[in-house]
Amino acid sequence: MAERPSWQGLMERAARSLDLPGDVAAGLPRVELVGSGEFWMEGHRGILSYGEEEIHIGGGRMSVCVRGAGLELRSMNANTLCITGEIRAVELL
Amino acid sequence: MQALVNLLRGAVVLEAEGPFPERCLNICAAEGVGFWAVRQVDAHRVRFTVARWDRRRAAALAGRAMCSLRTVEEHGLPALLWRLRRRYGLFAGLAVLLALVGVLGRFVLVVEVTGNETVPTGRILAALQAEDFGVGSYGPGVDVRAISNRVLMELEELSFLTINLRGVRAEVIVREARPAPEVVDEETITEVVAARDGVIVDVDAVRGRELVGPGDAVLAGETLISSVLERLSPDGTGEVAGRWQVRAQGEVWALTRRVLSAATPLTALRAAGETADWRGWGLNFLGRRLNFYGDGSKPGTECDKITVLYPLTLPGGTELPIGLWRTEGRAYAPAAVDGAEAEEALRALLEGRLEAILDGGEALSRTWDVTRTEEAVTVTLTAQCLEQIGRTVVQTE
Repeated sequence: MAERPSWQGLMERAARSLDLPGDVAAGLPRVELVGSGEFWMEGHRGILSYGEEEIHIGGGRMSVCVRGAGLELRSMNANTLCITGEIRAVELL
Repeated sequence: MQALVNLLRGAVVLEAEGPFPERCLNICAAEGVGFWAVRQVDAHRVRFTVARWDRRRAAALAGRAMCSLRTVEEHGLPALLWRLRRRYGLFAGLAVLLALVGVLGRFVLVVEVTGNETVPTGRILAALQAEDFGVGSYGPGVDVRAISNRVLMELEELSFLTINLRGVRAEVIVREARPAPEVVDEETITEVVAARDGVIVDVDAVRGRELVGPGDAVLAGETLISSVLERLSPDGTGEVAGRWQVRAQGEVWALTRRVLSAATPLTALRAAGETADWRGWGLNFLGRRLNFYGDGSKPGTECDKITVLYPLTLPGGTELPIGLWRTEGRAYAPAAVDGAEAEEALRALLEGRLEAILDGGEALSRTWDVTRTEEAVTVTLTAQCLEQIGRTVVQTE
């Protein structure tokens, strides 16, 4: 039995077909990397696991894994978070 | 900037411990508790920093995440004040310091005078002091306009004066008045007379008729240049055809004799001894003097009194109007005066006096006469001088 598309998935597809920005129209997470030392994420769903070398962040239908060394959650609120440190990889899971 | 804000509002480092400490962070973020500097201690402990006023909310939210929360350390001004809350002396000193800064900042501590060229600064300051304005004046109570007007009336050499109060500094800006030109009344009939006895050397009449010539001996008051001019008859008979009067002017140089004399007693009152007979201290506060001694302990007027001010000086060299006075007194006692020293002093005195009265002339020769008795020494100077003796006077008849 095929999985029913979620509300977010529908909105994502609608935004894509209407050529609208996904983060505004569908509430999709927006990820921004400043060099290799600063990672910003808007629209996150919370920290899933936290460590100095690996941080997993919830993003709705996916999760984001930030890998590196000396990672630190510099600031965080209900919508945005910022991670600093030596970032080596950002992976979507 | 953020560090300064955190310093002022205070920050607390908390440690969340539980099976999933990340949940504590998520709940705090979702509920609007701002935090930063998150560090993992181990798999079940996370440290993060929150504002001081968010500590209780964070503790309440940690319970929802099945975490326990403890305070690791505190930073910022509120924590510092809390630690110092029992240092009553420190707070009292701080309060006194703030009060002093607040109170002293309203008084004038420095008075600067600018713009004066010939009028001495001390004279301007003295005139301002006479109007109760100076170091120590209460700034908001200064009526600049009234003081300026009164000082301008007193110091006629000034045409403009204003006072700019800048904090504890008072800047007095002055402009000097231009001297009014001398008005010569050309209509007044004058003649030149001899100011003193002498033998004429040279007559230089600008206007008028010369009545004397070189070699003539004149007495004080004698007319030297007459205001009356005569016109002779054109027929060559030598008769005076007409007379008219002018404003006579000119210089007349003559040899004169000046006799000056001065005397001094050979016994004088002098401060005896090298050490002070009396010493007292006082406090100078904003120009007001507070003596620490009573009038009963002061010596009489017959004493040598030396007062030294020790002002409070800032590292940059600026002297504050706060300091200590030290006054020493050495009583006078009769002492013998050395005759040779007294004679030398009298000679210098007479030389200075002669130079002052000659006013451009010169002494051609000098004769000194010294008379010394047991009580006094008298020096007499007789000088042969070359000086200008012509004095212009208004002719009354």
